[in-house]
Amino acid sequence: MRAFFGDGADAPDADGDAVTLAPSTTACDRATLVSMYGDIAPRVHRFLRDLLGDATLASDATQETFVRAFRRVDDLPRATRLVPWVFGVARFVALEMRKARGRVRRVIDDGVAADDRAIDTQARTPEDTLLDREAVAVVERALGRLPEERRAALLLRCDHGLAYDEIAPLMGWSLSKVKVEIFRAREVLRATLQEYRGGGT
Amino acid sequence: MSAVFHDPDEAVERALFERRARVQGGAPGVPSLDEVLRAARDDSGETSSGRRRAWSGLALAAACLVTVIKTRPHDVSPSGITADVDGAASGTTDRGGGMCEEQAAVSSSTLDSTYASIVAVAPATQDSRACVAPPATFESFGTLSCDRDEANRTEMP
Repeated sequence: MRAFFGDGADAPDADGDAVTLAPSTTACDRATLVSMYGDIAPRVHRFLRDLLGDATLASDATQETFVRAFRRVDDLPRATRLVPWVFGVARFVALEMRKARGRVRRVIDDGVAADDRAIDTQARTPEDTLLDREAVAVVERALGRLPEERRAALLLRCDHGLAYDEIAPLMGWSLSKVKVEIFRAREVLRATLQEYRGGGT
Repeated sequence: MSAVFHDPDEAVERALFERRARVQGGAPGVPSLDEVLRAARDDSGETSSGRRRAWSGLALAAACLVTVIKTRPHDVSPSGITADVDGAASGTTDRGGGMCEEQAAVSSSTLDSTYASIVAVAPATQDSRACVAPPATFESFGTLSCDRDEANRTEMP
């Protein structure tokens, strides 16, 4: 993730037009995609898991996403930004899978349990562990409250660092709609965080 | 409106997601690169899933068509039946009317079971229609004729 967005200075600003991707991501060919795979595949898997609500389904969707990406990457125009394009393919695959299998209910508890296991295995301070647990719980709960498209937009913006003008064509929305949708999604996330902290103290 | 979206608090959301991503770091279930490349190679060209689906659909439709054609009752050739009926009718009955000749021919013919079952259904349905129809026509016809007679009687004198 750091390879694409740096250490915060390269991350998208609030305008959403200051994404500075690593130079390797500007080339749009098979070799670049191969070299990026190790970094981007876990992110795409997480994105698909958040969209589909099922880790196993997300694995299948990740494979399908990259199979399609590898088949088409050499035909892309050189100006194409590879990371947003791959996320666009992933979203399309998620929509197809949902359509094929019917509406998939998000299984939040399953995700939280898996995350708890991951938290417990890491050597961290109790405070860090508590904050990790809070972050996972709040995000999962907020995502579960969002409609699917708004959830996808929030994930692309806040989790994967895409700019507004990269999200717009990916979602098929205007730039202003992207901003409004993400703003409303962020409101839900903040309200969930308030609830969590209010309930926890 | 843009002032709203310049809200620096987006850092809070991003920190939450970042922490969550770190926790989920080594997510199991991510397919290996080799696996993906192999699948991309196998799935390309002529054997794409879409084409496979199209061909299997076409084969299924053809199989259904063949089955329907084979099991259709219309496949019994009408010329063969007519030949048998005509031959029997001319040999055993007089030429009083077309209907009588045909029924006699059917009862005395040596058709196989398929033909016999087809032919046997037709008279039964005709009989049931004949049983139901007459009472209705009788009632309605009677009332109509009475009204007409009354009208005629008043006009006679």
